[in-house]
Amino acid sequence: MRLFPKINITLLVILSYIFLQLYPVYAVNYPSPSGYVNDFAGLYSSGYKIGLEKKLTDFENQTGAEMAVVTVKSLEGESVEDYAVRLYEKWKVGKKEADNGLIILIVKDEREVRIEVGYGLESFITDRRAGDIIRSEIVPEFKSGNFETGTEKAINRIFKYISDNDIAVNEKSDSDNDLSSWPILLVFLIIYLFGTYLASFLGRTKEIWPGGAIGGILGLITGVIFSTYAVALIFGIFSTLFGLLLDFILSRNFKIRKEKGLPTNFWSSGGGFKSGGGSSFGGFGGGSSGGGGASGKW
Amino acid sequence: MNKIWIGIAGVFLLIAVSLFGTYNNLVGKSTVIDGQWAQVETQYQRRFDLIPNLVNSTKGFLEQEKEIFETIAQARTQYAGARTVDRKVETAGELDSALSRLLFIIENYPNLKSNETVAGLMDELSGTENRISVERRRFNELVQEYNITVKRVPTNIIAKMFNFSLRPYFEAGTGAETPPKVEL
Repeated sequence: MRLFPKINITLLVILSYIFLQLYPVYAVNYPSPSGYVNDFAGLYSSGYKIGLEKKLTDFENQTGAEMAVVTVKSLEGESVEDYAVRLYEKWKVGKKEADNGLIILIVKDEREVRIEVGYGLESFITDRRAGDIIRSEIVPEFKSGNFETGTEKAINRIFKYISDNDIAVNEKSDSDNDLSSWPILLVFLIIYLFGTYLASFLGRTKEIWPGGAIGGILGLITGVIFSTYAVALIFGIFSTLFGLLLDFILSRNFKIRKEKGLPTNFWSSGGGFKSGGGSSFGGFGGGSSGGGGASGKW
Repeated sequence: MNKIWIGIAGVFLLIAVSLFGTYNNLVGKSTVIDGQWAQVETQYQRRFDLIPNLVNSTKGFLEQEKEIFETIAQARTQYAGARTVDRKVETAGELDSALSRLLFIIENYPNLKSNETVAGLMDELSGTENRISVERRRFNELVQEYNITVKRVPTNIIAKMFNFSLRPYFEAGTGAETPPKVEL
């Protein structure tokens, strides 16, 4: 009973540590993308939004370049440059290796606009060109409240710059999920085969310590490869316990139905991990930007 | 008896594996920081190359502001001559503040600001300033992540064993914290 408060504090520390790890603190709540057009400030008519979405989708199909149009109500105290680059870090517009993405950020309350250019498009949309697009296409139209015309003109200029330079179309192929989901499938297959073999071995040994030892070692190695020493240690302990339990169950099962072998349903039920949400928009390709582009006020 | 030996071997294996892992983790993080430093330097070089253009196209309009051009030229020479990373950071800071002042001066000359060449150069310069601050922030974030790893128990023991010391942050020079704004 005397141990009780001590355990409580330790538990509290561990729990708060886990929470800190899980929820990093962001000063600003950056929205999530719902498509190529994200009209959070409500500057466009719904008809225009559908047309623009189609236009940007077609453009992506032709050139592989991803362009996001974003309107927000306020910068929440950030500068437009910081807001744009952090939004870009979150959304990852453009294909992964090509970094051929671009964000047009329009801020309603502060009346500011920024074109944030991904690394791969910097040579097509130079800062000078971006600045000129803002000054001569966007600002005059926005000043008289024509948000749709201004956006349209800006996008046409950007299309022209990118198409004229004939950006490599073959960048498209390394996009979709075929690249990212293959290693995961392979890992699952290996775990499945290895697991089946291991289960039969553990079941036959009758004793339960090999399961714990193997679990511990595997857990530690996995932890060390994917994370830090401390995490690896915790991981190792948990895997040891899991291994002991698993071996205990397997050994008992084996004893009960010697002739039948091994219950593999332990592993097969674990498949079916699939990333991605329910919306039809699949997200951007994983590109990055480094603060290139230009900003302006209207 | 045999089982005890297996146990001891297992413990040693665990220690060895986690030692390698931690060491590799630190090496990896350290290398990423060096890579990010190269990114910062690339942006500095880019700005360095931009300066002669900006100076030449504005000098004629700004006869009475001779002093600022001298400061820029001086800071530029010093940056070019800097050999160590620390010295580079220091001289880059001086260049930062000199250029911010020039941009500020240009703001006060409306006819100069509306000149197309100057406007384009201003775009490029403020774009470069913004790139510098972005890459610098990313550099500092990586340094922070690495430093936390080095300081944490029990990684700090291994870090000490293999001489992984804390990495310095890139402190921005005066006037370099925010990219100069180009008002339109």
